[in-house]
Amino acid sequence: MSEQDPVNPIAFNDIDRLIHEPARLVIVACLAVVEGADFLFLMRQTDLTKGNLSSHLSKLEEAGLVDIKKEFVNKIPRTFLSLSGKGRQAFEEYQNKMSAFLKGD
Amino acid sequence: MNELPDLKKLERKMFQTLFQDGIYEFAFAVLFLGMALNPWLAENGISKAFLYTFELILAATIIVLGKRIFTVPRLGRVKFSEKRKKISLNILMGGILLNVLFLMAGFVFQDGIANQGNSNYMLTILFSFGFLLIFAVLAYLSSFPTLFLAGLLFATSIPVSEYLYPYLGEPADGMIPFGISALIILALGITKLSNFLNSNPKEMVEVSDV
Repeated sequence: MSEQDPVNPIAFNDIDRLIHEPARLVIVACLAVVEGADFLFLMRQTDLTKGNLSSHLSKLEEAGLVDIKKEFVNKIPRTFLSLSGKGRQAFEEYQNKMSAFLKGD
Repeated sequence: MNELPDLKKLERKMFQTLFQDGIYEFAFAVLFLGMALNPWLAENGISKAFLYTFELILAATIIVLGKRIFTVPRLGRVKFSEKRKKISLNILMGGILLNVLFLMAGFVFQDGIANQGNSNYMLTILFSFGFLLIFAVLAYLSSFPTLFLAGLLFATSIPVSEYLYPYLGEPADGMIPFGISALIILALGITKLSNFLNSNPKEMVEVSDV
């Protein structure tokens, strides 16, 4: 953001910083367009490393934005992830606020 | 980050990753190979209905096993939204229905022309063009470009087969164009599968420590 841009600090402070972080935004956006996906699928889609993805998911889970379920597929444990109701609502609000902010409303 | 992610584009991109493994190309190759070999096999006493059923089952088995053996352990699992599932099902059913109707119409016209003792090459080309159009629409709606290639190969093979008939007779007239089509689509499948295997190593153990 350049210094010449008119910035409304009140509007920007209103943005959900947990979602706004680029890697988490990609994770939340990927989960928002599907019902759910396992850890491996999300890792392939986001190009994040295992450790990075795990740490971001932990933060999102702590905030109640992501539901994490452990299940077995062909005797291999898999972590299935989906956006919680709260997460979908938070992402929708984030989108609304960001688009309003970017439009300069 | 100064712009929001385009969610429609993102969902489409995620859906397209399901086609990057080349498994569907192998299934199409089986169907094309069937179209190439069925007239010859039928001449040797095997029922055409049995052959077509067998090939459809084989193609479906390739998709199911291919996804289970190659794709899921490397790409992971995803559940798309109900809307996407509904769209995919509608495309599949619509595609099957349109193709069956078009094939029936083609056979009816072909028989009529054959009974009159004529050969209408223009009608064959028109019929092929119609098929190409159906496959092009299906490819666009499903975000799966191989459908267009399959339609193009099929639409080209029909008039080529008719052109070759006076020179080669049955079953060679169909074997050559449909066989070449099968090889083209098989080569694409092999390329896609090997790229997929190279870029997505198999995860034998649970990758998550969440």
